[in-house]
Amino acid sequence: MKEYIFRRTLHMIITLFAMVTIMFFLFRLLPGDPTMTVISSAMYPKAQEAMRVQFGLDKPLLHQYMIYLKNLATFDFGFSFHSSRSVSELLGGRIVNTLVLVLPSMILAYGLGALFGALMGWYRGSAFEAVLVLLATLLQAAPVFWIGMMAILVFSLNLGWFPTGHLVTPGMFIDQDLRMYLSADFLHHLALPFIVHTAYQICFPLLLMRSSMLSTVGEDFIEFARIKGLRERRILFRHAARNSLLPVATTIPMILGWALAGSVVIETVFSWPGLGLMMIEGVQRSDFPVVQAAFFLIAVLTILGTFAADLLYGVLDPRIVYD
Amino acid sequence: MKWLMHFVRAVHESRAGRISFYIVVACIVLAFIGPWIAPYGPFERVYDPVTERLIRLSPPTRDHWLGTTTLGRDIFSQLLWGFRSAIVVGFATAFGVVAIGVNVGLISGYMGGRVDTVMMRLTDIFLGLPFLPFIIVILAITGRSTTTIIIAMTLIMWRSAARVVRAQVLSIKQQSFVAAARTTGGGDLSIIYREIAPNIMPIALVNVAFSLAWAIITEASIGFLGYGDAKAISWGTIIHDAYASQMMYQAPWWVVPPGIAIMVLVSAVYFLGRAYEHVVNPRLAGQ
Amino acid sequence: MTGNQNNRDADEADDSALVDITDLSIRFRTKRGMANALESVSLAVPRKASMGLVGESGCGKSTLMKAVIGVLSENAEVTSGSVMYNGTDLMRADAEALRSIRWSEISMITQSALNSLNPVMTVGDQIIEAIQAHRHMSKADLNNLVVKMLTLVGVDPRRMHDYPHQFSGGMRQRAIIAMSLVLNPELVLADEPTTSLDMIVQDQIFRSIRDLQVQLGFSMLLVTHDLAVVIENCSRIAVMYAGQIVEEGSVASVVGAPFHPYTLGLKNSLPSIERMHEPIAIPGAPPDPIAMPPGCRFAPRCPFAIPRCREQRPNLEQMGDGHASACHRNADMPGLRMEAAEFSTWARASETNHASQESIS
Repeated sequence: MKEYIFRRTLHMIITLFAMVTIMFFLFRLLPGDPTMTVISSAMYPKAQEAMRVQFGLDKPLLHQYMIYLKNLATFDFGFSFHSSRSVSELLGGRIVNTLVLVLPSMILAYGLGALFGALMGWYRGSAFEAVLVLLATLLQAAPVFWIGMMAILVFSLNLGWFPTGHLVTPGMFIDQDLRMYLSADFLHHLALPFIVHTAYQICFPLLLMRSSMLSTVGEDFIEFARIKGLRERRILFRHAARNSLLPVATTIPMILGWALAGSVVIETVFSWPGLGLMMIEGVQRSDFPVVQAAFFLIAVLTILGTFAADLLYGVLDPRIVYD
Repeated sequence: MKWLMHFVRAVHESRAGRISFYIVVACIVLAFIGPWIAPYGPFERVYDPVTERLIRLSPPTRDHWLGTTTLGRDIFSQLLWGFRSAIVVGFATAFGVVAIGVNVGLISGYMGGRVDTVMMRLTDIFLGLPFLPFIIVILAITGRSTTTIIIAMTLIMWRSAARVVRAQVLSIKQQSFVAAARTTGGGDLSIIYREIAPNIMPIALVNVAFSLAWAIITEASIGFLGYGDAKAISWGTIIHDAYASQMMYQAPWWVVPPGIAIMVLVSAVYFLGRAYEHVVNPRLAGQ
Repeated sequence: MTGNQNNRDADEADDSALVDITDLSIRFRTKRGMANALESVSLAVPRKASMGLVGESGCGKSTLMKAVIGVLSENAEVTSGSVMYNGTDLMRADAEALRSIRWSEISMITQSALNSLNPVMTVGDQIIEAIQAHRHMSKADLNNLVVKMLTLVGVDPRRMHDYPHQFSGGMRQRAIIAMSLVLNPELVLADEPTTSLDMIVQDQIFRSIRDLQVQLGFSMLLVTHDLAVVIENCSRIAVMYAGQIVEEGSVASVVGAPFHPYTLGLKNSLPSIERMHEPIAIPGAPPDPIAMPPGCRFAPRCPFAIPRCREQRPNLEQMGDGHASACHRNADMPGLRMEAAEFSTWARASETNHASQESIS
């Protein structure tokens, strides 16, 4: 077990390192002067010169790469062209905003998806199952931004139940602190993107759990549980669903990665100031330090999520061999 | 061709598969003839024949079934043109993804050892890259065109296909006919492509379907975010135009149809993939 | 009506059958059509004794067992008959009544313990949940009972916290046996309980089952394709072929002096010291359950078949001493047993039957 964790950690570090290297070259390929990544042409020549030295842009590529690694490791992403504040300063709140939206809704989506998927597999052939399969497939097939727009159209504009976007009502809070995140106003703003995101994310675990159940209910140990005279509820949850959960759990890191990467879309629709929107705005404004930082953080969160899910899987399946 | 026939027969076994098959075929046909039967060009501005004024943001009328945009473009025509880019980008990406995925999976799974380790680490790295942000950065580097969109999507989507194929190759490798081919002195390449490859065709086809679905949704997302091909109209860019004009909620006729088009096509593709998967993988049937 | 039942009516009440299966017919809906799994099966499982049920795979013995424990698959259809247990007809009882009878009164030792155990639950927990489904017990009592049962079957009770995959094949089978006896049931169904194990372990397992039977006094219905296992462990035997019981009686009588040619054929599969050659397998295959032959179902493979066998279905006929056989040539059999032990007899049968089938088609 210890060795397993050690090995996974090692893998994670290698992946992270490779990803960072890809980024280094990717961002130097962006059109224009390579120094564009960190230096804006709008700066005074003197300031430009100072930054060139700070980021080692006058040095050979390898040296630049070392400096780049050092900067990333210390979360020093330089200064935004747009706001001329330090990027790391801008990032803090953005990470929280993305995680507040994505994490709880992913947990809810997997929880509800597994539960309803289990029921769908158990009651296969029923109208309940058929309707949910159709609904989930349609929802999964629609682009999430479009679902978001439809939700705004119906629930915000026609029914007036929710605001159309943003974190809080403009001007209500000066600082993004705990008081804001716990306020009713914030939760009111969070509700619609949260519901849309959860509804969209639920489809995948739901359908996967269903098909996983379909193969589990054919297993001998389910029939044996029945022979033992166990109650149906117990067979459903403790035996069938519990075992069907394993292949569903393996997809958590992949889907978490998609959800984080997909934050660019959902955050755009709801003007939700998270990492995704930050990145999109950055690309539009050619604010490359911001883009690079947002990209980096989304990737790091994805890789960390994979790592956590690997460990979780070890807990769920006692048969896993730690090699 | 043999595989295509097998596929068509397999998906016809269920009602959902049959209906989906005809929806997808209809969409492919529309991709060909859509631009011909469209009453207007995708960027053509329509004027009132009497007043000779631009028809801006008109709700659906007899002449303009789905209304017009703020720039006076006929949405029904745009929607018809959109079939072409959805189908072209979708299929090109799906085949690219599966071609790379199948080859990586085959070589990695068959060779094993160090080759496998290196290739799987590479796949892991790609799995760590954020999907849409990666595509957007690539498009920022290469510029926006249909070709670059296809390349950018293929570049990041092959990773899942490779994993699935590799797992399948690992189990096929255990079967006796592979060992038989080895003892009769077949070269590695001939075993991989003559003996193993035909056996992963079913799973490759399932992957084509799921990649196609994903590619269509992703292309729409790229369009929505404003990175679509500026010279071609796609369902994503229609929604983007509506969004950017800030008139989307005043003009539901503008945003609702392209979304429904995506939803219907993609869910048909999903059902098609699942119907086929059901036939080639009977374990999913439950009994 | 068999003579069996007449005997029983005359005997003491306690001598009545524990499970009384009467005229049970079951068929399955399949893609190809209706498959006859059981046809008019009557069988009395005795109290505090072991009964063996032998037959080739697909003869319906597993279906019979599933019917008794009430886990027939969804496509099964019971077309006639009853399975009486303590005055309850298991074919017609409601779900909750069946659930409470399962395991506490009729339990089962399955073929593959590995597949029957839930891979993500400890062995001890799986025994405990079986108890809890039927009895209210304190945690300490539950634990003590599991420890007692595991010890009884020869598994180190400290291993109760292990998962099934951490057990050896023999230990898993023992754990299943412990589980099957934990509620002190009246009847234990055993479905090829040792096929997945090697000979030595098989022997140990059966020995401990016999010991436990003496200690705890349960009945056993042992389903197997292996006649030798029945001879060693059972006092009564029923031979099944193609969904019907073809011969039934005490092991001594049925194995010692069989009447049905199929039983004679099965006997040839036993390794024998008297016979100097290899065991003889019965040539041919059982009939297609979707298109059963009209007369005796064994006739197409039978070396002694006469034209009547292909037209008229034989019924179970009492041959004395509670021994019944369903063959038109029951009366001729004592004179044919020697011939039935010869390899050439069966080889000839396969040729002539093959030829006659071809001439028909």
